[in-house]
Amino acid sequence: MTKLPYIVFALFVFIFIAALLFDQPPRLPTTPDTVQITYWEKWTGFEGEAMKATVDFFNRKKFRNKNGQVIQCRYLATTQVNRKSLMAIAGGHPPDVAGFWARETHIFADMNALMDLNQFIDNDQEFDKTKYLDSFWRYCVYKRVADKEAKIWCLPTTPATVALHWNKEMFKEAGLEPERPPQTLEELEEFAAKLTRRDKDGRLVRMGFLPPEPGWWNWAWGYYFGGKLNDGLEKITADDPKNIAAWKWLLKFNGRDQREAEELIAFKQAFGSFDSPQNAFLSGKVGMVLQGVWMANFIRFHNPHLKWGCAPFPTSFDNGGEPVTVADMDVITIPRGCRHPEEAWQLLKFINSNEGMEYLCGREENNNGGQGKLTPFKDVDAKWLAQHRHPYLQVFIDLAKSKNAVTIPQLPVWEEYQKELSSAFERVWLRKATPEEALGYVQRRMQPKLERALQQLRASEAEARR
Amino acid sequence: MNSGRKGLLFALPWIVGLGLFTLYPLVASIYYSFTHFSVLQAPKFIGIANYTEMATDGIFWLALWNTFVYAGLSIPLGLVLSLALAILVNSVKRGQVLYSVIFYIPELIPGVVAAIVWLFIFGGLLNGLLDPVFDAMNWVRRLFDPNLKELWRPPVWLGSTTWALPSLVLMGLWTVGQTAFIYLAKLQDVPQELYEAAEIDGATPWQKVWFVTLPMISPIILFNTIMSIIGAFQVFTQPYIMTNGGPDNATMFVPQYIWESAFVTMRMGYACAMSWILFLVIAVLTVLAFKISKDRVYYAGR
Repeated sequence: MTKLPYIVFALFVFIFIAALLFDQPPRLPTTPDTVQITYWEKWTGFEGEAMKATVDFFNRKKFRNKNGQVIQCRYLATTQVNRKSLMAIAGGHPPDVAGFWARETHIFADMNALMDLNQFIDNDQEFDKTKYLDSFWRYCVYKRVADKEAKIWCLPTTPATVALHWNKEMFKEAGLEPERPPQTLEELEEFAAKLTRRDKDGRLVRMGFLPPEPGWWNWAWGYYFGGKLNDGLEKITADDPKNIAAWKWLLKFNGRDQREAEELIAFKQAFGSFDSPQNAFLSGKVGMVLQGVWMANFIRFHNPHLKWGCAPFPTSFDNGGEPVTVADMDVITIPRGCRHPEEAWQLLKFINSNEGMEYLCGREENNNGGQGKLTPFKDVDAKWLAQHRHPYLQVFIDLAKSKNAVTIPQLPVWEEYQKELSSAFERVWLRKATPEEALGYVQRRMQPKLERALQQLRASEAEARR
Repeated sequence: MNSGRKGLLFALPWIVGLGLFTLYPLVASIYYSFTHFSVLQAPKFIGIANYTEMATDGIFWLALWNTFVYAGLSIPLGLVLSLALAILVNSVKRGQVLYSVIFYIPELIPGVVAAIVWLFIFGGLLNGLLDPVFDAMNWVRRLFDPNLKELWRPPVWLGSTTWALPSLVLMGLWTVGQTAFIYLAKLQDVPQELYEAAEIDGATPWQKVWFVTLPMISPIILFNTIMSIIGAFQVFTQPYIMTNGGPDNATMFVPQYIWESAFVTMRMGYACAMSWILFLVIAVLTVLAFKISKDRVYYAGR
């Protein structure tokens, strides 16, 4: 019996040492003639299914690496994929491919978390980087703060633009022409007023237009007035008079006084979640919304009989046929320190081939329509377009081609900047501050933060060189 | 081999675990709080810059203020309510176990699930119940003032800067059963003869609670107070899920801001510095609780 403690102790030491020795990344079963790569991606639900099917498509193609091994990819849907991937990269065990949001890729590049893709693209004759629409390609290229030249850090998975969606039945009911969306901001105000309804007790039952629904682009309204959020890398321009003008215009939909403003908060509070039939637009609580290309999917799932249309959101200035939109994108990257960068590149390349991209973004064979989005390419196959489920896909493609399509600023402090802008918008919407005050506050807070971040990035790079 | 060494050997796995996974991160976070650290790049020593930045960071101070307000509301409310609940359950003759179970059930529900359920409650269910009440009030008011314009409406709860924080406090009371359970155990420990003696002296029920019950359970009150202080200052799950710090930072608490700094803006050094300030605040309050209670807590064993 006296030996028991020693045995337990020895066992423990053994496990501990074994853990240290075999501290290897969880390897997938690899046979001599196949090599497995892992891919972490954000999507779940039907979008995840579409991406997974695209990966399966890649696997069926049995691409080979330099050693002649067949490349097989494992798709893992991962919540908070950006944070988990960063931790995995920091820990030295990243996936071979990671899906991020375009708005943060440049931040990760500056943190040295990603492999630059030039090393693959420059040696790959088949890859054509001129086929991309400029509004999306801008996200892929970034000159790191410490670098002399811009490099390519990511490739698109699915792009998106945003447009005004309107409810045709409501238009008809309000005596408006159902097929004619508002052409100017003044018209939008007028239409919104006609669409708004109250019950006999004076309770609000419908808003024609409610800017914070869904509120995902509260930071972007200034662009519809010709404003800008930054001037190059060094300067924050949150308090641009045009941004202020935009927010002042939004306040026209905020009721006449504090009480009505609060009523709107309560009204919005009761909306169901976005991905449900209780969605404010789908359930007829709001007549016009700013939404992305994906909205058609959710309409199809939750209210297929809805009669709706979409068109560019009007601007305050004469845009000469070049409407404003937010061009946003999901991207795939190759994390620094991954085990199979060459094989990972094969997957990126396949998804960015016409075949792969069309399959992912909207082929019937892919789970009845893939992700139902546009592609990031300039030229689209007419046959593909004809079989696509989105009834108004061309609207979004045209928006992506517009000279005024907005790319999210590639600032090292974008995440914070966006958060500050959202807070500021809330403050204005709750009538706790005027647009001047709120945006002025953001300006005063963000400019020093940007300067400090740039300084830190430059300092760490200078140190690395030494 | 003597038993001391043997004991140590058995405890070794735990000791090593504590060292590796608790002590080391603890010590490392002190160092990181003096650095600029984005996780992916090596930490860079910047002296007390994080701490000086905190001093002028409006959102940090707002978060600290909000945390104090939350603690100031939720701790006394929680303690009083749980104690009242425990005394109530203790005083019933039959079904004590049943009541205890009912009050304890919320504690068994994962915090995330509860937060989402409460999101629905505050988002419309509660006001669905309150609306008729407010309508009735407005109807009565209209009798006195036929030209009534300003109708009373129930609060917007999580959507309003005034009500968002109190809503979270209200929701926090949902798990009051846990504390009540601990009180109940101690209450049943109070010798019956003390109550009998008090009764003979002509004590009212209220006097019995004040002069017998409370002193006898004072160590548990102290324990629960300290646990509540720690819990209130570390509140994270509910605001993270339900309000994400909004609206207009009205529910931005220090833990939420720490999380955002660490994982959204990737400023681990700044987050570490804030964590240590939060730790100091909790430590000071805990020591204070001990100091204040020193002559007010009755330990039967002493």
